[in-house]
Amino acid sequence: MNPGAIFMLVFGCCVLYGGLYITLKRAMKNREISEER
Amino acid sequence: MLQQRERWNNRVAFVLAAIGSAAGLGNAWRFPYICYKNGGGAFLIPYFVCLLAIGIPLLVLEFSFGQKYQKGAPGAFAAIKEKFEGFGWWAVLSGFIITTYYAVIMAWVWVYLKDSFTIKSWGANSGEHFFNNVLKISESPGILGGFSTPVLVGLILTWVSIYLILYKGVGIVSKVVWFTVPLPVICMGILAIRALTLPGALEGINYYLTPDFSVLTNGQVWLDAMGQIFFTLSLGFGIMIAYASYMPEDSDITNNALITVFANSGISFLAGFAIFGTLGYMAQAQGVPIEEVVAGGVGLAFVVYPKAISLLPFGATLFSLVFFLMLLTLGIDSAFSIVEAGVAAIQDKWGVSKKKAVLLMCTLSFLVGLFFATKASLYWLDIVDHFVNAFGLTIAGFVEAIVIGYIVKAHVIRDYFNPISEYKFGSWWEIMVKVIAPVSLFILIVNQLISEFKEPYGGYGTNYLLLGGLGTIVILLIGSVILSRWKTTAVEVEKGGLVQ
Repeated sequence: MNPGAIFMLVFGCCVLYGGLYITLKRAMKNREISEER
Repeated sequence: MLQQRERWNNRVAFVLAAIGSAAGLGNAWRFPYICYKNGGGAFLIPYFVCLLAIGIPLLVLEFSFGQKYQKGAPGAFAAIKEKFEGFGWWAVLSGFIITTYYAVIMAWVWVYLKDSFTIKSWGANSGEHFFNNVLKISESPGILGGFSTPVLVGLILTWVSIYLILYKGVGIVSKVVWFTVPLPVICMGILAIRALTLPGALEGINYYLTPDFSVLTNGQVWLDAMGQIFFTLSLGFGIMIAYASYMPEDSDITNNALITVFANSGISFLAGFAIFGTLGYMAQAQGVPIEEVVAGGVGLAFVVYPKAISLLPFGATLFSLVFFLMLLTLGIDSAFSIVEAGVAAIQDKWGVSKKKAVLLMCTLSFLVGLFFATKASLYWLDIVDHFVNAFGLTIAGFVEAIVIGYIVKAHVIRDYFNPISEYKFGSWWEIMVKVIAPVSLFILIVNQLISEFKEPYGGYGTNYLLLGGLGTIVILLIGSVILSRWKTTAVEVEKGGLVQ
């Protein structure tokens, strides 16, 4: 793979899967707080 | 009698259903192709910008709209002002038209699932198999030529499946999405891993992702990104409004929307590896440049990809089954979500039982869809799809943004969703809803209108375009007016439930 494609691969993965991870983590944390209450 | 509004089993079910609705066939066959066509990896930049400027704001708007008013699209618009009910019906009817031919594409997938067992015999001539054996395509749109039996059987199977999933309400849908959302992702993962282990695959991925940043100054690329974002998130159908109306009024909105957006786009991105990896292998196996084998849409799914699979050294049947199972599960939850938007609208308006509303929607859609099961199906499907997407959905999205932005007032909606959401959105959201989204959609509509006059779409005759294109828009218009003026006296709709 050429360097440009590798860069876009990393960029796309960071934004999409990173974004999904952060939002899911936040939802899980909120769920834990709700259960504690 | 007080009939409480249905509820999702839990938040996860709602988010999965929203992802399932957003992630459809277009994620697999449209995104990778559009990416390749518009500067490879560089396309991700306009794509992400449009996601932030149009996709996320409009999805939050639709979630808030449904959840706040606790009704499907027509009911929610009517709750703002009775005169606006027609806007909601326009969105629902656009979805209704789409579902009639979307189910036919699902029917083709059923046929291909069966044909996967003999892929080695027809794979080399996949084009001939698709057009002559499956579609039995006629010579022109004017020759309907009766039904294609395999497609008709597939269509019945599709509608029976949709009916069985929906008739008992969102409680069953809450369970079904646990299967129909993860399964296509697993299938896609299997196909991507298989593709990446094939010779030539990396060359395919290079074509998919190598950035050509010069395209960023090209307006058409930005228009393609806007269109892709708008269509991929199931916006403008009233689906997300109906789905959100089954959530309690104090549920999170912004984070649910963000999860839906990231998951949906993540699925599209992953699909590119499965598609381009395989196409890279195919190009190398045939000794041709990859440009000669690349395709998008129906041609990719039913002609090029099956041919590529048939070239695999082993396991062609298995990978064909995985591919079409992926398409089936990707498509089925999008299809039933469109039907559910109509079901919610019917229930809100006439207060009929879920079973009756689902039966009515499925029967009507099946009967209208029979037209797309004829031997001229591909022509009409192409024409109607083009016009409903280009005008039906974009106009619905444009009107939504204007009504919420200027009549309800965007800050009222922001004041509603911020206190109940995990992420608080600033005033930038209001700017996106009031200015950026409607202006972008307006440009999309005008640009499309200009291109219609410049060149007849798809090279079809003007008579066919007028019938399939203009006819569809006229049906939408008349249907919206009739349904919105249809007075119901037996049912008084109240917020949070139906009072009969």
